[in-house]
Amino acid sequence: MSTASQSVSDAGPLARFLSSTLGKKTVMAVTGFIMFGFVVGHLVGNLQVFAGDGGVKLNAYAAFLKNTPALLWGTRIVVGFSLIAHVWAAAGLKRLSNEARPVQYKMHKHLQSTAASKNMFWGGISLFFYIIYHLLHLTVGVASPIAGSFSHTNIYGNMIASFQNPALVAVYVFAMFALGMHLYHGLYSLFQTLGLSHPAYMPRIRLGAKVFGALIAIGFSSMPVAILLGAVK
Amino acid sequence: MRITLNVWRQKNARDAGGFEKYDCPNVSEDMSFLEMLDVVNEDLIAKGRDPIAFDHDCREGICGMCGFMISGVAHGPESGTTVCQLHMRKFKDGDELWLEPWRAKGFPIIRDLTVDRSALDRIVASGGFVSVHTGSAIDGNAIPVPKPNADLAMDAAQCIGCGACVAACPNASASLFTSAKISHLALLPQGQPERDRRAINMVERMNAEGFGHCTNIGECEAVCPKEIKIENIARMNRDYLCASFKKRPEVKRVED
Ligand code: FES
Repeated sequence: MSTASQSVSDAGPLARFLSSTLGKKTVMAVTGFIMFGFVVGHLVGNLQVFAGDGGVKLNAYAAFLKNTPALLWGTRIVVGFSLIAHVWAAAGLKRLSNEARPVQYKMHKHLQSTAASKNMFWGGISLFFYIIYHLLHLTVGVASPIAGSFSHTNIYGNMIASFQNPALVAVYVFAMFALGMHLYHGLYSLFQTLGLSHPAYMPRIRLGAKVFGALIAIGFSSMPVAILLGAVK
Repeated sequence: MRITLNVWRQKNARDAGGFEKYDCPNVSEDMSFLEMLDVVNEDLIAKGRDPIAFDHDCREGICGMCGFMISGVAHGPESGTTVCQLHMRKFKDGDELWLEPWRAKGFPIIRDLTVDRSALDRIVASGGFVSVHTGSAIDGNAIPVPKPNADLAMDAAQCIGCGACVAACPNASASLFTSAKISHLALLPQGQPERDRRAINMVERMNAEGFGHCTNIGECEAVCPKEIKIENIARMNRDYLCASFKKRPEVKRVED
């Protein structure tokens, strides 16, 4: 046995799995699904902004989360870890993919791939920067436009104050469009990656991914837009 | 009909290479694409110039030797067809075409449109086999095979290893090829004893050869001359995943 293959088989099974492209894809699929679960919960919780009660429900929900540190920090740790693992795997795969075709084609036509699938990497990068800003803006409260007036208890007020700014609303809506596209390909793709594929239900999975992607994008966008238009005050 | 060709010319792996333009005024629409190139080459030879190097063998779409990019599409515009079976009637008078070799780190260029695809052979050698007993031949129907599985295995076994999937993939991934080679054995009872080892070894060989990962976008499926489905990639992923988790440390041979 050569020394090279010796060192591969001597590596632990997990290290070996994670060093392969399929291992990294599995990490992306599983962590992506965890983050999708978080996004659904986040959306459902935040839609209470439409309760029409001046934010009583939403602020009570936020207070409940604050007073249940096991839930709040449990979620933050799991989702934060998922995000780091997702980005780590994506970076590794992107590097491999760049190396896999050192000389580009002069002409290369795409016949079947969707716009969503081709923009997973750059869409993902945009989302990563959006998430950092979003946390600084509405979780930590140190980013403009409400850096000075941020309240840790009145999150409803934070939202109303922020989304009077059309440029900020545009950024949020664009980010949610990117999220919807990312989820459309990601949700479909994770079934394929994990090997859960069957010709009978793949079209339904694709449709389901499209519907969920759209619902999430529209659901989240509806909040800043409604505030900007004055429908939620 | 008149066709203008821009062909990638490259003397060897170290040469930088570049496009050269050829005017082909008398192309018959009954020619295959390779016959058209034969005519161009005869002309070049008569003029004392180097003919365009391209791979081919059977010219009937079954061997997998031929293949290059025609204006950005592997094997050209007709789906489910190798370039040797593509006819000039699929093009219009006056068309200008760009011919490029498959481009991937795993496929080093030999010359012009020919590339070295032995990486695919090494992937097959790493696990694309079954163990058979060497006594007298067993009865043909001794091992029952369900018809649907036989059909799926045959579909996967259609892969001729031309490399178009790698060429079309934005990540130069060899997943469609490797998954077809894994699937056609994994679907049959004869392929079961090595199933786990096969998945692990072939996937790791594919990675080691420098091919990229699969982003499930389906460009490979669209250009495959044998119309292999990406369902096979899902099967490969499933086998690799299960095999990785089931794997136990191998018993080491005691060195003497
Ligand atoms: S030459 Fe054999 S498949 Fe084209």
